[in-house]
Amino acid sequence: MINQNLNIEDLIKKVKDFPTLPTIYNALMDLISNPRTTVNDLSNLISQDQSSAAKVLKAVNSPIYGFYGRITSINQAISFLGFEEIKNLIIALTIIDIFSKSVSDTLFNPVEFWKHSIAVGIITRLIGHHTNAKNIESYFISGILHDLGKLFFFKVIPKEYSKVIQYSLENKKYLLDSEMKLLGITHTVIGELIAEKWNLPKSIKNSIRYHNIGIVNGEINHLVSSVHIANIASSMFGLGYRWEHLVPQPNYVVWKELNLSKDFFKMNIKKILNDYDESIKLLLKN
Amino acid sequence: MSQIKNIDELEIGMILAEPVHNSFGQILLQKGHELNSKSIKVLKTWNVRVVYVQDINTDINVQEELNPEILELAKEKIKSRMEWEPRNDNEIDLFNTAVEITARQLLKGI
Repeated sequence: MINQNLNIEDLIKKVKDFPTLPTIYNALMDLISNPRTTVNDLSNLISQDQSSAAKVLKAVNSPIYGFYGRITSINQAISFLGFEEIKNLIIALTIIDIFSKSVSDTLFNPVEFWKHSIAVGIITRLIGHHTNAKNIESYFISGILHDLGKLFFFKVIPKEYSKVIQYSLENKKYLLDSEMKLLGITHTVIGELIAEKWNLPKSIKNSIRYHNIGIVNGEINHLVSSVHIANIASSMFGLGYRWEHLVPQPNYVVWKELNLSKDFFKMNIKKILNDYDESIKLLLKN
Repeated sequence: MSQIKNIDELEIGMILAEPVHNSFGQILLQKGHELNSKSIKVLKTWNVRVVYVQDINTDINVQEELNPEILELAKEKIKSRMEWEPRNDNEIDLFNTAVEITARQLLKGI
């Protein structure tokens, strides 16, 4: 242990003190779970929050969704993307906003962190599209939020976590192993606890918990498989930074599940790099 | 690279970058299909709104060849981060693409 005063129980207690999501998020969840909610109801709610409204419009018109400037109102955005996708987009925008400040004296760099997360979001979504995934609206956000647990560590125990990373880089060890050795708990497990606290959908929770192995409790899961591959690809392509030198080998069963064409990355790399640049401009610069 | 086109923007000769499905999930047109007046009519009949087409100008194949020394350097750089060897076509694709990106970054001096 790095710090004798720091134990797992304390860390789990700190999850309870972790910031909650802004009120718009709960209002949004309530509205969307009500089957009688109309496009206008949802549009009114989003429009009340000027910064969310503007960001939603920018996002919808970006290459991530590909409507290229044709969507001019929140109503239109909702009709094209659907309730779920709009909800997920606002969760992503909100969470990126909350965690955009750097923490001094630590290795945390929010821009590099989110760059990696955005790259994973883009590639996860692309894999979903190519494999005709059923719940495609969850793909982008699941990629974006897969490392939520790292954010927790950086925010709550920044100095201790910086030491974990340093240990991992110096000894060329996988970050998960270093977390286990020095903290006794991993970012995947702690991330799942926060997802529970925030009532995030199960698909996102699974991606946070299982993105490193790509399967959920020994069972194949298309979304988690996609996040697994996207995470490794983003790291190998050098998109953003994940505080880990080593790249793990993909889980073999995941390739079988996704059944990607043998030139999938070669054929899509231009699109990935282009979407990545555009998304960073959109999501990280106000 | 592919781009999304609205049904009204489609032109004969454009190549589909993605298969097109109808609302029942059946494939109407395969990836790689070259659009003709008949296939555009099929898309309209099925009320398909947008499709992915290939962007010819930025096709990766038209890029200039990379110098073998830079490629070798990029390969070593990626390999130093891997404790494993690619063992199927997907992993070879992943590795080669990573090498290509790294080589271009090295060229640009990043």
